Amino acid sequence: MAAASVSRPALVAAALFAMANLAVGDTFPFSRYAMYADLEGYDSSALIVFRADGKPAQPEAFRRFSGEPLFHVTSPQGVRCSMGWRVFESRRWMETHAADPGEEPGPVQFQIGYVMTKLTAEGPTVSDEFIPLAEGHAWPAP
Amino acid sequence: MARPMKRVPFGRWLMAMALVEAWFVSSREWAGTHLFRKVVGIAHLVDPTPLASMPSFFMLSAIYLTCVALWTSGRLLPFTGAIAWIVLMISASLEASAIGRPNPTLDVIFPLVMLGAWEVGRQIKRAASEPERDAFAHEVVCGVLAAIFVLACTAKLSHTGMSWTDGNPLRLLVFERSFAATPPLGDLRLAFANTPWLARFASSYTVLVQGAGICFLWPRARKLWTLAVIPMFTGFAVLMGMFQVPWVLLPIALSWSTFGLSHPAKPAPVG
Repeated sequence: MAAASVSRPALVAAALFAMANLAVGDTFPFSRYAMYADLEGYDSSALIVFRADGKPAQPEAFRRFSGEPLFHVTSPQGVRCSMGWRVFESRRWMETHAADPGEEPGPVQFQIGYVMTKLTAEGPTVSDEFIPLAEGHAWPAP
Repeated sequence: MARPMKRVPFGRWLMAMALVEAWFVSSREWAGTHLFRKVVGIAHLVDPTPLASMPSFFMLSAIYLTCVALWTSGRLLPFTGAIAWIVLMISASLEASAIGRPNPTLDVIFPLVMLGAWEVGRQIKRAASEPERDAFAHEVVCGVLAAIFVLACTAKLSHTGMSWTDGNPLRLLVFERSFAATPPLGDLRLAFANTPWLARFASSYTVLVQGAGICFLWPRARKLWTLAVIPMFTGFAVLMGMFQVPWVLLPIALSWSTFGLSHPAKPAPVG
């Protein structure tokens, strides 16, 4: 029956679109639509952690950051990390809320780092060991 | 004698919502920034910093949102659709440049591709009547949607084979995101991460539904597939914090309605 048959324009469009994207790959505006495809062997990962004076914190609660390493921080190297975007997001926040040149460093020691998560037979676990990526100083938000 | 106003189908309204959402999701990554980590799209041609300034953001927003509003009501076609598409492309490339990835987020690329496919479809049939143009473009967009989901499925299978469905990577991803959520959401994510069979089911369901996106090539199968894909995106939102609104709106729009102004109820059958 005509109503039960495949739509030919849809089929042609699908084929052309798929071929174009497979041929070009992940180059804007083409995409492989990988969407978390590359998860082989994903049984441990770096979980991004922010600390203020050693306690968990969020960068958005602070202003006037100082300390060059903070402004050059990148996501962890050599380990898998599904939340590396959080590092860049925080870096953008710190750069737009940086201390003025010559300003006295803030009273809070601010650190960006990570802890390792791992999937074990007992379930997912998180390590207590904090591995720093960068640190500096900041002032609490008013 | 005044022309009667065309009734805008709810599918076109859903597309408009997706386009507006895409704009705000995209532009928040680049508006006012001077930090670009990658050179993507328009950043190859011009310095993106002035484009990303706040005055430029307001101007581009005004142009884009005006064009989306006019496109939705069927005015000044195809120019409003084309201009909206171009401006969203600019935003998408600025976004990708700012976040340092080869492509913008999925919330942006999906409506961008859908709008582009719609306008291309209508242009291919520009010599035909309005209903025929809309019907053809509707099928083109449906075909592109089917291809996207099949690509997503094959990407997973080509990287990991069927082991993607064993659920373990998903458990770890959700576990990591449990720390970012307050109770009860964080507790829910933690419980999911500690329930292997549930993660296996969710992973398998994801691959199955994405692969079954090929069903969108069959007009009669579209509604059923859309009903199946909604729980998948609900799971993404709850467990991963990924609110991919256009990915829910547009299959609904295409299954139960259309973007076309000539067919307020449903497009003419093609086959």
